[in-house]
Amino acid sequence: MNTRILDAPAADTRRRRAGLPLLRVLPFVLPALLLGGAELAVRAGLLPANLMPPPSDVARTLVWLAENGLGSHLAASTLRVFVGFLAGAGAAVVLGASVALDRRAAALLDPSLQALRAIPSLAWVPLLLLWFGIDELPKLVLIAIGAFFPVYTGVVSGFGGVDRKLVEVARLYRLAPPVLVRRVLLPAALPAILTGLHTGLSLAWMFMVAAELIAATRGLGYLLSDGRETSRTDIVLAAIVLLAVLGKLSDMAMVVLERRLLAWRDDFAGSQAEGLR
Amino acid sequence: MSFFDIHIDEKRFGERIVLQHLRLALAPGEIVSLVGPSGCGKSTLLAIAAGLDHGTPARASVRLAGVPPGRAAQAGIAGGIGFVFQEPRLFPWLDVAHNIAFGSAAGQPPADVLAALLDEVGLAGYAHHLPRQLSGGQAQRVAIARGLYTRPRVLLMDEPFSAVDAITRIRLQDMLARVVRERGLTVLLVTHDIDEAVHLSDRIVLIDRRPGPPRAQVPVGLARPRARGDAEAARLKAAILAMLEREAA
Amino acid sequence: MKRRTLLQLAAAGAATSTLPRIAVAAPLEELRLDYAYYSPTSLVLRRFGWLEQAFRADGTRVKWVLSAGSNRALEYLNGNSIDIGSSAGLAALLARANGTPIRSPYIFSRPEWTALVVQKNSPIRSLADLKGKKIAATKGTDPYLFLLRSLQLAGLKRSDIEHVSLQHADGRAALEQGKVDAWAGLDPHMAASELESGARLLYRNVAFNTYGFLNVREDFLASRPQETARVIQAYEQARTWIRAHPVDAAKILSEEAKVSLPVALLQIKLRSDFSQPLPGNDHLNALRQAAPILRDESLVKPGADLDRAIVALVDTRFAQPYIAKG
Repeated sequence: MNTRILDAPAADTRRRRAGLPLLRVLPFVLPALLLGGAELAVRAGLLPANLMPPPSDVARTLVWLAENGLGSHLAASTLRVFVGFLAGAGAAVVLGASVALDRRAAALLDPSLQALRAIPSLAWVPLLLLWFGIDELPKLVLIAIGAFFPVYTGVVSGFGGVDRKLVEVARLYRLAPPVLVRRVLLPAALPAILTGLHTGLSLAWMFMVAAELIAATRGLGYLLSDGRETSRTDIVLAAIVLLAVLGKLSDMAMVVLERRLLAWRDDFAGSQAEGLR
Repeated sequence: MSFFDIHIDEKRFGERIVLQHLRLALAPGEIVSLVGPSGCGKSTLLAIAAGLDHGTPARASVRLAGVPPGRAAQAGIAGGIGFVFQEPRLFPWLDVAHNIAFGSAAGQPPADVLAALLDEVGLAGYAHHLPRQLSGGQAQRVAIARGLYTRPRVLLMDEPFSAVDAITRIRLQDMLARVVRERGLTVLLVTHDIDEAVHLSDRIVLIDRRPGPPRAQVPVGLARPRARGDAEAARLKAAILAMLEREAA
Repeated sequence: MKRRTLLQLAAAGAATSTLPRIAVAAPLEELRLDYAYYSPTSLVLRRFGWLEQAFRADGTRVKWVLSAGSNRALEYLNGNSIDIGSSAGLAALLARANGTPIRSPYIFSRPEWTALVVQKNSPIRSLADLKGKKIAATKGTDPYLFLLRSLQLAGLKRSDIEHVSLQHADGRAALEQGKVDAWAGLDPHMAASELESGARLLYRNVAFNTYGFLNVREDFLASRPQETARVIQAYEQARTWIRAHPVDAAKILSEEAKVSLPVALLQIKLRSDFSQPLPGNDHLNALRQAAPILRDESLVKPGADLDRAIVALVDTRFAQPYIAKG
């Protein structure tokens, strides 16, 4: 009986160790199946090539694009996302903090902002075109609008959701309001704020594509519509692949940031990372 | 004149009067327990004493060595009033050291002060742990260390051990008794645990649900160090329970 | 309706009924084709309902889809949203070379429908002046390809200018609001811009316009030759009518495209030629001359065989029996 109890943990760790390489391989299984399946299907004539170019074609196109100015398209799109996101997120942090911390600011701003939030993103396009023309400004404004609302919501709910008990502790120390915000409210609200920033960044990418479909001369959205207009479905897919990659990279960057800033959090995901399941 | 004096004329929540004509006077080094049924206002009283009161302001006065606590430093009493809540209420993003020293602008306490304090509450070596790595009992020890950090003369505690299990509670009570004795602290402790009140206090104050002066003030003359399960302690506990039951009936 | 038109209608009806009744699986449920403001024939056809008449006996529904440009028509054809679509010849070649499965058995007009347009007071005087400027053009359409070929004449490439991609109507608006320096225009928008805002045609070249091609999906042409023939006959009906009634045709264009009558007249009378509906050597040569720009500007995949695409695209024989005399 006793030996069996002693054996159990060893077997458990052995099983866990064997599982780890599998975990590293699993993320690639679905994409490999899809790409391989698509390639075979088109080669065998099951899928028409004008609707679904084989992945090998798309790969060739990516190489060709890389040798023919892809860098400037990538730079243009990334810069737009960066600037638009900073503008929108920055405004959202300022307004969100005001609304969360000051009742009069909340009464003044929040109802109007909630109403604006209800407007679907693409409905802004004709108006922005009219007011700001077809250059960079309407694109950056559209991206900023996209990034604004998730960040705003994150900031407001983050501050609003701070445990009252923690605030009471801070009251013991008679902290001045700005110090209270900086030392207690901000760190406590940080998880929600970062989630808002994360979502805002994803939306910024999405809105960037919409903005570049308006009337761009460079960028991944421009490539996308270029492919569409000249019946180059391979360029369309290449642009989509690049958008996915860039989006994923910026997402990963956010995750790294979140993990570093929120290492103190006590939740299930964190315990999974430590293998304490 | 007492060392720590709380005088409450009236405290309302909206229309309801919660506390009225209540005076508590603590001698230096005295340990007083506040006992009463839930809803009798003992936590509110403690909040007023700490300056944490909210809602309609109370008509009350709090004096430490004869002056309002905020001005006690000028009267030669540094360190203010320490407070320990029922839950540890540690800031999860700060480690133990920074939580303890939260009140100070420096952020982290000097290493020797920190080591001594952690030793005192039984957490030697835990300086850089995060709250999520602590058990309930350990977290509450940190909370007590935080309350003691400024070297206060008065310690207010609101059911500090009600959230932990029985064995941890005993250990924490023993630790508190030692700390209080070594530092000569004046303590006002709110608790619903009669055993705890009898084991720790010099005096037990019974509060009614009916607003007004305390129903009874029971001196606890047992010699220290106190053993648990003492016959005298048991008799005292029975008497107090009887008083509380009478009020409930 | 005039007596001559009545006779023409009767002739068309008789011709349709004498088509050999090939055994087909079932009558066509729905005929999907486009209409466009750059194809006045399609507008006339749609207005008079001659297709609906021709197909009523079979119970076939006729679905009309508006194409805002060659790019859209070709996109719909590629995605099998329409069976028959109107586009410029060179645009059709581009699509075919990139894999869109279409054939063109009919020419709906020879237009001079595109030119490079600048504002009335523009300092731009020659093609060389376009270097580094912002030019609006709808990708994948004749005006866009016209722009590229014109630039080539001045030794410029696509990368020497800043191309802003806007659909035809938006391009006109951008030019008139001064947001772009030049616009590769398309009728009727171009005519409207000239007459209403005084815009100037910087560069014209009839030879650079590559005809109006009526494109049919390959699979539709192969499986529904009878129905395709009937459509072509109906188109012939409309073409003949337009040549006989240019002013009335202009009125229809004006109403449909929401442009003024003078603009519509400019497009139809002065800039459209409806005399050669059957694809032939002229059209093949026009495409062969134009094809190199597709390769030079990398619009087609590297290594695409354009000569083969031209032959695969242009069907010089299918429509022959159905072309009306005159």
